Amino acid sequence: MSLTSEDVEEIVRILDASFVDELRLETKRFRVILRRGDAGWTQETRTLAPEHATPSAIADAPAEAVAGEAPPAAAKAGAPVETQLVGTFYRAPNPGAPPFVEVGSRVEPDTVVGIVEAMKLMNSVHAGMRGTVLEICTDNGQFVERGHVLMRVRREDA
Amino acid sequence: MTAAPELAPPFRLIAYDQIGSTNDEAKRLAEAGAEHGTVVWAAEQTAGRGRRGRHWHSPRGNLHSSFLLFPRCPLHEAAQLGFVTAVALREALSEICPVGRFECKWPNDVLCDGLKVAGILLETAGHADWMVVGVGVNVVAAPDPALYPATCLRGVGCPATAGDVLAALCRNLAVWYDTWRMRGFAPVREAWLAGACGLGRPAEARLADGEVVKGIFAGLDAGGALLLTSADGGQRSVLAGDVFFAGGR
Repeated sequence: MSLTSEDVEEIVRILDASFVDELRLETKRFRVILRRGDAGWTQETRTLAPEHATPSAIADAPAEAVAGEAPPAAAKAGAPVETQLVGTFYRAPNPGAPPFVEVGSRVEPDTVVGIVEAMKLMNSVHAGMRGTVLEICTDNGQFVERGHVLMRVRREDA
Repeated sequence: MTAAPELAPPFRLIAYDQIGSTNDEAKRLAEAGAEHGTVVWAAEQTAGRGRRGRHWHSPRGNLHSSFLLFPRCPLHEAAQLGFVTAVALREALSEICPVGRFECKWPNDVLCDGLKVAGILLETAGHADWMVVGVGVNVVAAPDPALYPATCLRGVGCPATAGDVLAALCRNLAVWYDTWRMRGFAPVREAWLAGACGLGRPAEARLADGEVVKGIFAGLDAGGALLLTSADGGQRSVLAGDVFFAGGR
């Protein structure tokens, strides 16, 4: 089981009520460090190489190229996660909370990667694919139009 | 909890004594196949929240409810349901609490005698066809001064219970939801503006990126965005932000 943003939120809720200022959690699959700061909790997460999936996907890539079938451009740059709603983009569930995802975070199709708000409608944006976040293209609090690319994900389910 | 009220169709009640958040429960029920019109009601919330994860004061006696709706429309139009709900709630509160003067505040708060008495928070996920409309009403207690000054129905002399408010809201929401489905946003916008707080007054909107937009509150655009006219005559539309009127509200 991988670490989800909901897990991190739950951990932060528990820590909030404690006297703990820093938590380091490391498993075979991920490492997360949460630190209490003046403006709330900061988060560092890193997905560690799992036994399968990521290393083999990286190793396979050159082999595919040699086989003469170049990967599509979108695969090189990562597949876009777009917003369907015009509004304000948020990277975290509330100010001061750790972002839903960081570069390097593992995502599943239903992983929440951000929220777009318009007129107090909060639309949770899902990754929509399995993979790893390559790039976050939009700042917290930025206004986004429909179709705006919020982030790019290296797909692993294609 | 007060006795469970009879709800106007299509609303069906699922009542809890205590729950974390009625919105979270409604979202869970949506994913589990619950139907349009499901209403989650809790006597008490332990993790009630408002816009941007702000704590929502949720003691027993206040109304904590969430409506599961399947509007079957584009996402940007679904945001109009906040106005639909605010208009219905304003009418419901005016019916059961005639001593109060109720107004709508952009985008979908309801004020009583100029103080916040209710909040509405809409949530949806990805491309889901459901939407959860959370409605919290300060019936017996108001939070300590927070971002917005607040009041409660009991504070203005209204003896209504949370169940009374929920029943009245469902009656009015059933009508306004159908109006919106059949005739679109225009009549909702008109009703909202007729009961709006601060129209024509100086206002400022604090945006998430730190920008503060100031101007005269000129109305709503055709989709519900807040229109602010600046001193030089320019107009800005605002889709998300905290809005304050001169005089502190």
